[in-house]
Amino acid sequence: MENFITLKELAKQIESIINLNFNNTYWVLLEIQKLNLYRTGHAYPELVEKDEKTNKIVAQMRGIIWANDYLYIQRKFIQVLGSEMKDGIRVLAKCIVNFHPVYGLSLRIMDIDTTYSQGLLEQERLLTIKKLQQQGLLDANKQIPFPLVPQRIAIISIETSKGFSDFVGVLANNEHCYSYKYTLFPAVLQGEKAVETITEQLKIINLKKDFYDIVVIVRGGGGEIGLSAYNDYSLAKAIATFPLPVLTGIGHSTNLTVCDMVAHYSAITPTDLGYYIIDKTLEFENMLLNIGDKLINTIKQKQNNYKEKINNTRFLLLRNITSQLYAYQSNLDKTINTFTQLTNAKINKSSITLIQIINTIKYQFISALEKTNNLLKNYNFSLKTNSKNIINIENCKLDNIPLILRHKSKSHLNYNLLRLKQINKLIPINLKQNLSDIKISLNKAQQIIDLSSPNHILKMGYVMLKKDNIIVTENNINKNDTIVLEGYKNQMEAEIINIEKK
Amino acid sequence: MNNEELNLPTSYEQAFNELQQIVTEIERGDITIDLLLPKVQRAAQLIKFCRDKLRNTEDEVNKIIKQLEDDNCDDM
Repeated sequence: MENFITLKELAKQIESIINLNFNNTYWVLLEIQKLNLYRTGHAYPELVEKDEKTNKIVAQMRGIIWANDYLYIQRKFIQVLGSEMKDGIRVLAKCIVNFHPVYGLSLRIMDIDTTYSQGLLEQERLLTIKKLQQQGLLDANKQIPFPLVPQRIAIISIETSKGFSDFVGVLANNEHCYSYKYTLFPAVLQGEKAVETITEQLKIINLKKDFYDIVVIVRGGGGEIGLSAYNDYSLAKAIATFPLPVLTGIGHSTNLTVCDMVAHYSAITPTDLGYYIIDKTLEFENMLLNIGDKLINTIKQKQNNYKEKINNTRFLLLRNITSQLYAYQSNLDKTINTFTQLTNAKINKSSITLIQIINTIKYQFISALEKTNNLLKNYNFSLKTNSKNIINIENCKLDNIPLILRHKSKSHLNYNLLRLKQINKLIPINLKQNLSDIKISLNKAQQIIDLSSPNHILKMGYVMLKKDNIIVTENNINKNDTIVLEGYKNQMEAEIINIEKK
Repeated sequence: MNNEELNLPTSYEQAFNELQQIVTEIERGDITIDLLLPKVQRAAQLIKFCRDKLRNTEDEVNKIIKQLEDDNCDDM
């Protein structure tokens, strides 16, 4: 029992041996299975190495990353790889082997070669891209026409993911009040399970593809290391060949994952993806509103055109009428002028003729007067000479008359006395005869007069037609005239209904 | 009136194609001012249909109609 040492002494010995033999830094290829970051800022990761084929752990060690180193490494990761250091990544780490009497063996990680991590990811990514390119699938999903309105959405995410709630929140609270219908198809969003579950959900959505316009894959946060699943060939192919447009919002900042590349559209964050979908909807609505505006403008333009046409026509009409009126007026003026000229000429001509006629008449009259005067003078002369002769002759005759008278008057007186006596006898006889003849004639005349008196005719039953107390005949009577029929005793009023020619 | 009576399309694509056709016809200018009115009315109807559908007003209305119909059936 004399040969023993204390645990502390043993630990010290081990410590000194290790410090002696492992006093260099080593670049170790390892996988950080679990980071185990503490509030103090120090991390105590579980470091492992797995068999590439069997995936079994073939080495395991405790790691320590002091707060200072941790901050430095994280900053580098974010700068170079666009994400933080996370569980489950393979890294090339700069380590020192440490032994502590209390805490035991551990590997202190001082630095990490990001180029190696980058290279690993990039290798996988490039390989996938190359394969898809060879199959002509890189742009396959992009070739599908994007729906006018992405309103029915199949979401591949997980309910607890911030990305999911961000995305759904943006859609639900859009200022345009658009309504979206979505269904969540839950899937693991990072690590090895991601490929399997996302592919599975895509298959399910494919069966119901008529009920959706688009598929979105959203996840929140997470670094590019966790995103390596999205460079997986089978997942990228499933997305590229999907019959509906697939949109991604899986959160990254540097290199696109292959899934992002083959997706119809990829947004940096789920929130951005939500806005993209709203923008697409707004785009459609704006097209509708533009069409509306266009129609309104076209109608206004057409209306204006018609108004203009009408105005032009009215103007032309007015102008034509005015010019025609002017033409008529000037024609009229011309006609009046011509007429006046002609009339004046005629009047002048006529007055000249008239003066000539008057002159002719005057001359003829004067000559006729002179002729008559001469005749009268001649008559006067001949009368004077002739009357003397006649007086002489008559004087001679008168001288003879008393002789003849004496002789003839006696016999003539006797004869006439005899005749007078005869006539004296005849007068009373003739007188009587004549008187009775005259009486008879008078009676006859009286009868005729009586028979033809109007009273007599009326008495016989005839009537007289009078209008306005004037006798009318069939020549001056008209239809619808009111007339008076005057009989012997009565007078009647009648209206001419019809006049017909016999 | 329901969608069938108004002869409304079943999808945005149908509605939009018809709208574009109307716009083309009108812009080409071979429509007289008399025929313009029914075309524009149809366009307005289509635009309203799409905008309602964007906000799901249509669905809401249909729900209400369905509710009313159900209520009527209950009464009978």
